[in-house]
Amino acid sequence: MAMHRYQLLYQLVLGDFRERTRRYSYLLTMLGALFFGYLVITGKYTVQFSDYRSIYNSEWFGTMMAVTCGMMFSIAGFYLVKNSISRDRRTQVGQIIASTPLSNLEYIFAKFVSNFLVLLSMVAVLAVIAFLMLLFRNESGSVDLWAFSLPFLLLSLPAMALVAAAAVFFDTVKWLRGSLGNVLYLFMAEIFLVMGMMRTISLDLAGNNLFIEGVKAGLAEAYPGVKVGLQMGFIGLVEDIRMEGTNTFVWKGIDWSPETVSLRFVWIGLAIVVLLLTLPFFDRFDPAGLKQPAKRKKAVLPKVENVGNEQISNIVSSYSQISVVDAAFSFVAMIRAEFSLMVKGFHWSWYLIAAGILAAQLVVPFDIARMYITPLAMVWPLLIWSAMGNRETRFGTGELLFSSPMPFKRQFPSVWLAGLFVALAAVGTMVMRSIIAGQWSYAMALLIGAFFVSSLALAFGTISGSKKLFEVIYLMFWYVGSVDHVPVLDLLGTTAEAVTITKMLVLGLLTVGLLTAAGMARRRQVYGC
Amino acid sequence: MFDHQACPVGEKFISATSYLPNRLLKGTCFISLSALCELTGSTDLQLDIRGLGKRYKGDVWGLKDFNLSIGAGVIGLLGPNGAGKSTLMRILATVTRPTEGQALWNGTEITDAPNDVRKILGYLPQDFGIYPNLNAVEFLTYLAAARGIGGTAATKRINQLLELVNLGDARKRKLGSLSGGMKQRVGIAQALLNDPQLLIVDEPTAGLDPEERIRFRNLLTELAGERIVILSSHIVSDIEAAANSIAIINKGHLLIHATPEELLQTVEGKVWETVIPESEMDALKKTHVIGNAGRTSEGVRVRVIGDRQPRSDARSVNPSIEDAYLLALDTDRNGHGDA
Repeated sequence: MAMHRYQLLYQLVLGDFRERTRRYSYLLTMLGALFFGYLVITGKYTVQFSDYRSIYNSEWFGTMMAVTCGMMFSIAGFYLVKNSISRDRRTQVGQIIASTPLSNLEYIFAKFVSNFLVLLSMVAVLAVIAFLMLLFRNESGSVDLWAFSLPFLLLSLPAMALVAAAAVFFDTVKWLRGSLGNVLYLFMAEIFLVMGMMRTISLDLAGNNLFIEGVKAGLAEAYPGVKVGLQMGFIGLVEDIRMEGTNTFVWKGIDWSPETVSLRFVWIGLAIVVLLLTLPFFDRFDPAGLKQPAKRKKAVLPKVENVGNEQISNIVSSYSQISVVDAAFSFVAMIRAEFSLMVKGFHWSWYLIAAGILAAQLVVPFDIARMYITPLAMVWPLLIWSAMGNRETRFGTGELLFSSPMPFKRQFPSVWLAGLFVALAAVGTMVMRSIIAGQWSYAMALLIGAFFVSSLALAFGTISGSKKLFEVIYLMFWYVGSVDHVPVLDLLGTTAEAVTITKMLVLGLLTVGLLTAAGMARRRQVYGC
Repeated sequence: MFDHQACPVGEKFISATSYLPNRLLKGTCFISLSALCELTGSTDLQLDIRGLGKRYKGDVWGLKDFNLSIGAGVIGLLGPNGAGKSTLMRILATVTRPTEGQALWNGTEITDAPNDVRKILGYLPQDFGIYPNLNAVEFLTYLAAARGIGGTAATKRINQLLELVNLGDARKRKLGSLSGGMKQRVGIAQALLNDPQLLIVDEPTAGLDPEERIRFRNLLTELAGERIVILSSHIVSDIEAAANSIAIINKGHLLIHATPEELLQTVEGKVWETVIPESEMDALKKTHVIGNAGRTSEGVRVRVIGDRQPRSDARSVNPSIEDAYLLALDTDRNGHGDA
């Protein structure tokens, strides 16, 4: 009996959902979400309005968790779900699907739904945690299930719908599938979240502004004329939160006026628009749509090639005709091989810009080079570093390499050294200039930063088997620390305040820890233990 | 006409198709029987597998109590999907650790000294990846560096190997633009980079066209004299053409390890061919092992393996390795030759 269209879609969504929720990365993200829930329960992550707070009631817990879900999964969730179409492409399951009657719209829609369900499953876990908190710490005397649930329905769901659709879009458009898309999305999401906090209601994806303004309105009602400062984030990690003695008020939740509700539906509409925009980019897994056959520049004719001092004929018909080479391992050759593998495959403009950045480090005034050019030099090779340690997993060359002699002692350190060489090349000029200028501590900070970044890349790449983890975490560090110049997160010492002995020691220790973790992960891959 | 039986004991038949071009290139005009036979076991190479087992998650054994001794030559591994062939090969290639038992390379335990084996190992996994932005020469140079082979001599060998696998013209093309069969040939070339004494090739002919398959089979035959070659394939004719001993595996166990001649003897006088009405097929399947079947205007022409003549009009035919393989599997499943 022929399967109905909707049954086909249902099976596709179900299969995809099962596949994804049984993956290690899902488990890790879920554990991360649970840990985050723990931080919220213990007050490490909180929202505070000076000495004032709402009583702990259904509206407060529901809204706070729904907003944090929107913020957290707008980034982490995207990277978790943005691989479904790529996986179909890589495993060639896509070509099987392409040969079925399933339309492009149905396929794209099914992928969106399964992305959405994966994200919702994580929101659901945090919603359960929030509900348990409500039961244990409720100060209102009653539980209003509707008031608790509404923020999840109206804040989290639309946000997750847009994230799910964006993941489908970025996973479909050819030039957004890889690292460029990962980086671009991170910046876009940051803009949305920051603008959302800054009263820009039209960009308030997670519902941050609604939450903050709603609480402020409740506060103004209870304490007319009071002025408060807002703190939101991991405040409890660095200072004690005073749970007793704060001035409380009863917050009745977000005012869900028709206008507010309809603004939330705009995000769902936007998600649909994004999905529709995806359609023209979907090539239905046609390999011809991915790459054109390599153009032959000239006819290939039998030829005689010079190799060393000898000429070899290209007619080899028997193995016995082939010269035997004695093996003699060379670390230099291995590092060179890893380095050339790392830097292959970029567009010529990438190398040109890299050369421009290095030249700029040499000629621009020292302080400008320190604050602006060096951070640029340390983000330009992002895609080189993010491929470290996971290339064997991503391309399936593990068995070929791990059956070579001493892969753990030879190839693995070579990857790190090649990555370190890139980092040292990025900061080398500034290290020399700072030594000449007598700024030894800055020179040391740059060198430690180079060691740290290459080790971080190797560890994250080896452990996760993917480029994404390093790209996202390092970019956040880089942006907040070295571009926004927040000293504690500044790995490159762009300001004098960012260069401290303590930080250098911590980074040095972390480098050793990361290398140890990377080594353990690779050892497990090579030896299975 | 020469055949396998014509070789003296301890010598191996080298197929004329692979042998003749080499000898003719060297100007040998007269081909004697002894020239087509090559001593086997003439080198000291020995691979002993004792009680080897591999347990996966969920208490599933991919390999269990597996015993086998292998000398120089080509050993063909035959078995259905999931029989344990790839598990065995990955253990021998030091990629997977066994749960129990030993694999000894010339008396040295592979698990204890994996690098001793890796130095002399050439391995072509069933599924392997490539770096799409590198060309064949760059990819092989990279893998050669990992195996401690470098310099101009390595470059020369890499170019020669690419010629050998008929990729000379494509050596500078990005691997991402090569066809599946061409990538497979790059895989074959990388397995030969270090002139391995132990060559393990898992489904090497997958994706190769018929001409390339024959070329590769002949290459294996040429390689066999001085090294141990372990060949796994679902294509019985590939094994039949290249292997001088065959191991049939099922459910992680070794069913039989024998020369092709010995295997053929197991089905001698047990292979029949007959034409039956289509309606009788199901009944025949219940009593006999069925080999190839094809429709004719008179009914279904079917190859039947069993101790008993399936029908009075069935005629006895020459057995093949495929018949022996089917019988061995059926015996393992049902405990006897007839179903």
